[in-house]
Amino acid sequence: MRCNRKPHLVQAVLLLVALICHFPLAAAREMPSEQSVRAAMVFNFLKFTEFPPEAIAKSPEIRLCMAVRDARQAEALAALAGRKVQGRELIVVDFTTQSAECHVFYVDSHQRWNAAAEHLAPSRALTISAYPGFARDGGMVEIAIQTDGARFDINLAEGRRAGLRFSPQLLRLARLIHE
Amino acid sequence: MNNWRRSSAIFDRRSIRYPLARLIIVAVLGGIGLALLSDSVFLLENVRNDIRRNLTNAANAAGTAASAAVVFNDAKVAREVLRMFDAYPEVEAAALFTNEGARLASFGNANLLPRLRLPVAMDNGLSAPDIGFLADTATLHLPIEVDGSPAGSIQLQARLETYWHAFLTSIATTFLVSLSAGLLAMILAMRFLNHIILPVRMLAEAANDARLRQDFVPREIPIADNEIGDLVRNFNALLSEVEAGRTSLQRQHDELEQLVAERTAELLASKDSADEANAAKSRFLAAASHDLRQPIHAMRLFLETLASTSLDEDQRRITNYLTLSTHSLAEILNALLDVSRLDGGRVKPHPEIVPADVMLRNIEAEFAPLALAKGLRFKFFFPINELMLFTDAKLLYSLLRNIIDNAIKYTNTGGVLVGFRRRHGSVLIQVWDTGIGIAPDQLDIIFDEYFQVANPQRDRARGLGLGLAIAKRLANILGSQIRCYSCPNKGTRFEVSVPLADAPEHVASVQPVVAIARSSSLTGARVVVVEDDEMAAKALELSLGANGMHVTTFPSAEHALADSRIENADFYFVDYRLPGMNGMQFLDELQKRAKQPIKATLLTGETFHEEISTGSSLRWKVLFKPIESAALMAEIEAQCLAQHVEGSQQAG
Repeated sequence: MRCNRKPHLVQAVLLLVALICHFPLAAAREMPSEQSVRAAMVFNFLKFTEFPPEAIAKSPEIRLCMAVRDARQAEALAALAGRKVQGRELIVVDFTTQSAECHVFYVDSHQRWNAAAEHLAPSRALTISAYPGFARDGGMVEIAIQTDGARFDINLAEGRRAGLRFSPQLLRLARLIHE
Repeated sequence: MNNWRRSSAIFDRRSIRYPLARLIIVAVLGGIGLALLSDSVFLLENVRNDIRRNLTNAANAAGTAASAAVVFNDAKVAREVLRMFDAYPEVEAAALFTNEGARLASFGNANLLPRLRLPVAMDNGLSAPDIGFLADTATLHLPIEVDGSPAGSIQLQARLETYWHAFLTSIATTFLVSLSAGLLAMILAMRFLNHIILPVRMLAEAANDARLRQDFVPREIPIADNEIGDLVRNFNALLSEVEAGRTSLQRQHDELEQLVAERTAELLASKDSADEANAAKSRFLAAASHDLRQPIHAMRLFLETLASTSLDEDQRRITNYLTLSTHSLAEILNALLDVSRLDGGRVKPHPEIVPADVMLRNIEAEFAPLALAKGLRFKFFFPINELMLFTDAKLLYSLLRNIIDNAIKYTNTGGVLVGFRRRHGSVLIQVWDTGIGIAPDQLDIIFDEYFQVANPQRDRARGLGLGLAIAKRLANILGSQIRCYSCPNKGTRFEVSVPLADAPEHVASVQPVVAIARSSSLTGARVVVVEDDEMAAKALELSLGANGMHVTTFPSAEHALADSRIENADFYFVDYRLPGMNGMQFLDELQKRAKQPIKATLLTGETFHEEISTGSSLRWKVLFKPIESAALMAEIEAQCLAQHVEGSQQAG
């Protein structure tokens, strides 16, 4: 009886291995898109940025205004709506020149940034973009997706001017800090 | 020497130091133990808290610093942040994890870290690591929060040896300090004890010394003004008082001794005068008895002679009464003389081996007729084996006579039993009767002179009341005592114990006291009587003449020796006490003149046997007055018969 056991055990192990290999690994199955990485970064910047009290005192929520043409990007950002940051609800809206009340402003191109910049000045919003040179254009956080991961630059002078305070931990991560 | 004793006293179990030292040691060790225990518990908690706090602070600091790196998944910055643990030598490994559980960065030997368990408890760092006592390492796993929500976690492992080293050092310090304090306390206590023990020991030695040497002078003992000082002062005060007491006692003792000496001298003087008075009484009693015996002796002989003549009826009756009265008188006199003789201490026992059956035969011969006359049974009980007594036969017989006489006297129905029993090397002689008995409260006084049971009126018919008094004295002389057991109206038992003789040698024969006169012819015999008392001489002459003998009387020995008629007489009756030469000297002189042994008997009214039982008196038979006529005849007959036997033996 004991001699007949071994073939059964081998068969069982082989069956188990075949079953496990049939399902693809979770990491391989859900690779995040570039748009969603940007959206996640936008949300994470909010965690490490301190808004001036007077800027957010009047509003019970934090308004994210976006000026993007890419629908997938807009969709990724819109997905952030409803999440809580700094104890307030995040509201995602499309930027219009009328909607002056913005706490965070995401723009995807130099043209739209130039068009919106002058309207944004009074609202002292945290400005974020992923196009190269945004920080030089007077933007505050410039996201750069690279092969080894996402990086960002920070224009500390613009931030100070707007009354925003970036946490040291965030600043430590920045690829470049513009003073 | 003293120092050695001091130090050795700690180990001397008898010293008070020993239990005190033990007490202090126990207290010190207990104190140290408690101090160590409480210190350990307290310190351990402190150390654990320190470890938790330090590790938590370090992890929190690193977690906060790395929070952005964790959120943005920046491994490079995360590694830089973890490098801060270079400043914490006890941290041997650390790692940062993303929210998804992926390790972002590590520090030190990350393989030492345990497997990550998700989710990490969100309890603000209160998830304190379980730190075992003297554990080598402790592991901490803390969440990293950003904006109130988890962003990742940090894991930390630290070596704890520095903490435990500090802990153990602290405990050791506490132990050493406690021990030092305990030793110091003990040394101080021992030194302090000297202030108590040394004076107490000196006090004890002083007390012992005072007792042994009887020296109660106060002692010099160094003292302080405390309770021990009080003790020493009181001890010295006590010594002073004892000394004062002794002096006073000695004085009283001396006075008492003097008083005793004086009283003793007085008592001795009193005793001398009492002895003198007693001796005078005895002398008077002896003289009086002698003088009383002579007339009684004469009266009895006259009466017997008178009774043998031809008398009419009235005269004969009166003569009988007179004879009875004379008998009584003689009996009283004899009993009184017995008591006086025994009290005088002049009667000494001459123990010899006496066969019990001879004694019993004599008792039977004397008392069986008396019992029969009263209608009583008279029985004996004795062992089958021959029983030999070692005693003075005459004194014992006299003793038993008194007891048996008493038993018959106080028994009206039933009988009297005389028993001889062997008891532990002696013979127990018992006299049982079924008489009136003796009340328990009278048992002690029946041996007193003139006490008679149920005879307070002193009925003369019941005797004199001297019988038991004489018996008691006889028993004392024989070295025994009479015991009496009685039950009123049931009977009485008297007991006396006599030593048992082992060998049946030199058996003395106890002759019946009452000699039985034999009927033989002494008619015509020539008898010489030497008697100074005229009445007594006349009575003797009449009594012997009535038996057909020729009697010649002389008033003194000198008269008799001067007369030729005294020679070749058949028998001589000589009074002991004669004017000039006494009866014994007379007989000795007469024997010298005679060619053959003479037959003679000394008659005496003396009470003192020893006076006439010394020296040559042993050769002569002695009869004590008053003497009945029949006894006189028996005496003559006995001596003649003896000579006849001796003569026939010589002839043969």
